[in-house]
Amino acid sequence: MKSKIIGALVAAAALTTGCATEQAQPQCLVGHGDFIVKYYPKDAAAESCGFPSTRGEILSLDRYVATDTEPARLGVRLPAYLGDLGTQGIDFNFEPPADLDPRFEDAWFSGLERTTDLNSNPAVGVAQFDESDAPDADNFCRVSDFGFTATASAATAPSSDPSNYEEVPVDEDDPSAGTEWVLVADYVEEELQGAQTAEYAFKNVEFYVTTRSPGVTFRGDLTFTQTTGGASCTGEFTVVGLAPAFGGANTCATDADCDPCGYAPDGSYVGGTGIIPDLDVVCDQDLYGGFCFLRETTDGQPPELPSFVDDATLAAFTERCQANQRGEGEG
Amino acid sequence: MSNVNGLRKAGVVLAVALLASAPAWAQTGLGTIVGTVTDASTKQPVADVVVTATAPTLPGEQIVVTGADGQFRIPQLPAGTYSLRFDKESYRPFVRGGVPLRIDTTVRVNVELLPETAGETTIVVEDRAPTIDVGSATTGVNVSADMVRNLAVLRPGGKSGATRSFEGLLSMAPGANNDAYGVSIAGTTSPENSYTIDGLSVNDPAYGINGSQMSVEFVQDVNVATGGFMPEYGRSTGGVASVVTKSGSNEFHGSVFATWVPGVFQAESRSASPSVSSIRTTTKVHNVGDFGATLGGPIVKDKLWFFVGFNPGFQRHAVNVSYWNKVDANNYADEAYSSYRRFADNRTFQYFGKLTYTLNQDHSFTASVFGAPWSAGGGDSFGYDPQTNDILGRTAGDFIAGTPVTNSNSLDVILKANNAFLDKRVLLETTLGWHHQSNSRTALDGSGVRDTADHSTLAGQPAFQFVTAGIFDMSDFAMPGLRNYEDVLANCQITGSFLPCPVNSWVLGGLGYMNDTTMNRYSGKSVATFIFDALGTHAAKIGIDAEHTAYNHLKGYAGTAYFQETSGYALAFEARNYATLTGPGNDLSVLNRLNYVDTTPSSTNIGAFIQDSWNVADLFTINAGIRYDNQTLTGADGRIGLALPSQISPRVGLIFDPTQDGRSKIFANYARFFETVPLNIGDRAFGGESQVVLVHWLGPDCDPLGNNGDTAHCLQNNDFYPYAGDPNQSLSYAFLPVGTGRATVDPDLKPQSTDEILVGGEYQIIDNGRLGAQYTRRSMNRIIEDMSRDEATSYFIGNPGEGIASDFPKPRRDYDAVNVYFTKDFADLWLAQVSYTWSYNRGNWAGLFRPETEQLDPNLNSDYDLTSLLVNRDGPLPVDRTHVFKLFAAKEFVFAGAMGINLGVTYQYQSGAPLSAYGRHSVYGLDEIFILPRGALGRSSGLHSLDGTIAFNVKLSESNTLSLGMDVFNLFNWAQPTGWSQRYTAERVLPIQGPDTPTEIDPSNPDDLDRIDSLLRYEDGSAFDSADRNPNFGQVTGYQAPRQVRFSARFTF
Repeated sequence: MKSKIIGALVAAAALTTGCATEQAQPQCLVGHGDFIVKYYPKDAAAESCGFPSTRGEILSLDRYVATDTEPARLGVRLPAYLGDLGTQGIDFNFEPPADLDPRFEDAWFSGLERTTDLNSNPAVGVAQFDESDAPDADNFCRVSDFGFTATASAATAPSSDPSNYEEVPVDEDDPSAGTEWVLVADYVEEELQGAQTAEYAFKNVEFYVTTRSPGVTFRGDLTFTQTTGGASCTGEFTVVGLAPAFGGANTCATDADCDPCGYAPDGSYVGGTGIIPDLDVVCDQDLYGGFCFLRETTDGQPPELPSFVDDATLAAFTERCQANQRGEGEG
Repeated sequence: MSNVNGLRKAGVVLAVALLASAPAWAQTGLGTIVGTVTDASTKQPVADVVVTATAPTLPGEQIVVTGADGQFRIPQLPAGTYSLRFDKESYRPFVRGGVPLRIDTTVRVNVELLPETAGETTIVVEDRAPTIDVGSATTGVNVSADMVRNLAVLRPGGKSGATRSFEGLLSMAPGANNDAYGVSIAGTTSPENSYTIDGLSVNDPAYGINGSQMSVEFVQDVNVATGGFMPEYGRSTGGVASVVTKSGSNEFHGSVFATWVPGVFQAESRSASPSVSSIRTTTKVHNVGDFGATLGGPIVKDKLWFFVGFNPGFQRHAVNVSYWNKVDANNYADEAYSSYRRFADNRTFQYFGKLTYTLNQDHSFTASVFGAPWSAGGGDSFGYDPQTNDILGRTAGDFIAGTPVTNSNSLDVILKANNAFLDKRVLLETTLGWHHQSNSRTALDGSGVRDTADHSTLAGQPAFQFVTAGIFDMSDFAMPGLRNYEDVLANCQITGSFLPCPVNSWVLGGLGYMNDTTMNRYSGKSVATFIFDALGTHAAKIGIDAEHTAYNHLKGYAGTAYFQETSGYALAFEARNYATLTGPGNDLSVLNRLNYVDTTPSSTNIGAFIQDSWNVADLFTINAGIRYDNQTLTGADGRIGLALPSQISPRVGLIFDPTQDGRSKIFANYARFFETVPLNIGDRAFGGESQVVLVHWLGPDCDPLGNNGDTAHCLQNNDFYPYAGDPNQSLSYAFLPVGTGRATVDPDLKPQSTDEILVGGEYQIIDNGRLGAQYTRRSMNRIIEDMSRDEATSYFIGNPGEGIASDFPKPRRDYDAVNVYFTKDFADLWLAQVSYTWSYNRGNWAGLFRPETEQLDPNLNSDYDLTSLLVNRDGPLPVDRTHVFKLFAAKEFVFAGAMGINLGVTYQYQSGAPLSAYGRHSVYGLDEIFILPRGALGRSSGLHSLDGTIAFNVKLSESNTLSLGMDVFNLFNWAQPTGWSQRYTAERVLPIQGPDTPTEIDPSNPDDLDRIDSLLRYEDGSAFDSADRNPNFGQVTGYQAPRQVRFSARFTF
């Protein structure tokens, strides 16, 4: 009886004051910083266009908060094309000249230089979300059309002339280490044979936005046009992106390297991947150097979002990660 | 009704007062007396006995009549010493005096009446004043006006020392320790406590700390409950401090009083001298005092009474700054070459008024108003921080630009009704109230937070702090604003290979953080008590309370930014600003600096409870109940910030009296407490607070040293270090947006709660004296904190270790305490309270503020913010004190009836605090990285303090007394160290971890320090250079406050 009275009192009070029972839904969030994106060709034309069909790139994204005069916006920086991701171990479709001695290839790449300044070129753009600043009922925030096409082009590279290259010992004190080919100090540069341009046109990009997964995955369409020496081809791709980009430089060799738990079994802090534990992530060796990426349910086919693990897996992760934090993990 | 007057003439009676367990039916701020009247000859209950309660603190009198079972209960009594008169025809009347009643307690007074026919034989059986609260398992202390009068409490200069606020009394409770923002209870932090004045919550709505510093002059009693609260107490995971104010009565009474702490009697304070600074600062009390008057009496006798009082107070500290120069690379001159003195000033004016109206003895109403306007600083003076009473102002830098004027105000309006129905078997207590606070921090020229973009005002000057150790000399700052400029120029000329006047911190430009805030809480509470019999006696309560809090916060940084020099004057870290990015890019065109941020979060909190206190045969009392709370916190953007709907707190207690005579109790209690989240989170996480962190290259466009100290020109600097990303890859490599947009909230967010288990026993060994022991365990179920997975760009709110944050460490704060105590209430002219507490408080989360940095951002502290901050956090927590001993004792001596002396002594000992080693985090700054596991430096030394009081009283007439007193704090002027530098380095480093991590370090052992250096790495992974070790690491930074004397004079009538 009394519990009924108290219940009634509480209910009455709740009604009169508008007590909330659910947390606010997130706005259209987008993961900050680097996304690893993977391109899935839609047809043979894309395969044959010379684009790195099984590869991916790194896009940098950011969300700019709404102001009194501007809605929330999405900033995009396209891949630092033309080999600039060398630090990440990804080199994009930049083909050495056909007459280059294959032994010189590494040295040739080391001399590759972009001539377009990407800091101020159109590879950076701003897009707007389609509707309001909130995800739809399916938790997607859409950008139908980025409204800009980004072009990256032109580079210089060492010529294929053998006098540009010299063979030196890898380690002067250790002859057994062998030799390698490097550029000579005063190598001759040339405009890259056949001007290369790449155009990216993103459409129908959908970010999956919930509190658990705050815009760290997206999927969309890409029309990619590459021009090499006046000849161009166009391919249609499905693009899937994940933030943060974790991998490259051989940091991811096995799926275990993509563990989001920031703690080793002995309790020491190792940093984790920064990827939310809800996502079903594997080490994807298709991405050069190995990047943590969403599991493909059908090999080579783009994953469907949100691409979450099941509850049991997440619970097991939680238990294991908490045990690791206490230094009680199973090594 | 029988002829009462006739009965009063009858002779001596036989009486037996038995004390036994009883249900807890005391009401908030009030007490209850219960008992049974029996016939001394037949031992049968006597019905229709008229029981009249009177007390000096009770307006009028309360009369009840015993029922057929001989039982009576007098509820809704203010605390005081009661006299009970029992009258019935054919029985001899009996008066039982000296019944002490503390607030929120229930005492039982059983009596036997002697029939008129019993002849002249008088048998007096053992008769002790009841003192044990037989109704509940609540632990803590009750601090009465008697204790305040007889003990040296409320030391000047502490958090509440200047205003002599009740808050300082909380530390008298066993298991209570001072912390930076008040008093920590049972291992928690002060913002977790609940503070009420006459039932009105006066917690600061934004930060949870005490929001009304009421002077003890207006206070009748303070009840400090440290555990075992019944369901009617909600919204606290710490302790519960309930203040009951003074009231008027049928006779006019009042007082005129003054206290004064003259600086001339303060012993020389020992000051720490950091080895790398030529500036030394000491502060000393110059004058602290207050005065005032109170008056209470009838407006309409037996119906309407008033109580009024005012209490202005002032506080002045002398700040002595001296400049020392080095004579060689290691040694300073024997004397300072220059010095000067400034004062810190603070004034307050407290006022209080109360009306009490009694319609009849079943219905009474009170209305009260309390206000405490407060101001500090201005002109040539330093200010004070109203939250901590720390002196604010700049000695190493430009005083005028860097010293704030602070103002604060609090206002409480309370309406209260106590109603009794059905022969006091149904009681209703209703409280309505308004708590208001305001705070502001402005510059000396009157410019405020709205003026940050006006560079012609002081508020428009960005602060610029120099921190790189070992490269700056005072001669570098010989520019306008430097006090004793000529002396510096004459004595700080660099001629050799060392800096003659080194400084390790200096600030140019304005104040930094500035604000203007107002806060309001509107609250209402209604509690109904039903008393009925069913297999024993029940006191069932049902109640509902609701409050709405609102907070308006205007905040900004002077000149819109705060710079911190790094890397030996090569870079300036723009560590604080309010700004957004408008798009991709790396120049000023995309940086939108906000002059200030204006937010208005609010919260609606509704609670309800039901509880029953069931007394079985005076042997057991079983208290059981449940409390429900619901909080909806709305962000500054008007959207829901936090929805915390289902807070169910079960509370169960069992009180057992094995002796069955009321002189003992054995108790056990289990309770769950939920936190009400203060509004600060709505301001900071849901309010559009957005910062952009960036690093400037120092050069022609940003060079305060080369521009005579001008800092504002750095705002136009467009040359940025690529701090936030890769120039070849990032949208904005120069700018790191921090906290962009509103924080997201775990959809399965659960409220923050703690569990408590208490077991204990109490035994009354002498009149008014009881000996007790208890064990307390508290542990956190879960906490609410903000976290970030992308290193500060975006935050989410969750429960670490579960739900959305399952990969974050589970919070831990485990507190175990054993407490042994003896308490003798003030009676027979003496009182004593002795307690010893052993406790162990450990984990990775201290509470609602971070003691390491004094960050006060409840549920939003940096503890969990970034995964890179989480290492080495588990260990003994900062408030952990293994052994604490407290002794308070006082006695009044009366000579020849008219003269008297009061003597009081206070001795306290506490073990040292755990010490850790901190480093700088790349985004969060100084002291945020635990480079070693928490507590690896061992503990500081223990601390003794001995205070005494003496007062001479002269009774000028029956009701007029003059009293002259003296409190002496730190009688023997002990100067034990109280603070140590735990900053290992001011450089950005990584925590040390792995099997070789040292867990015990002696900071005075060079080998240990070398070992740390060999393991430590800079943030980029490179080996640590010992030259970057803080030369003051491990050194004492502060000493115990020196001896101080407070004189007091009081005339009461």
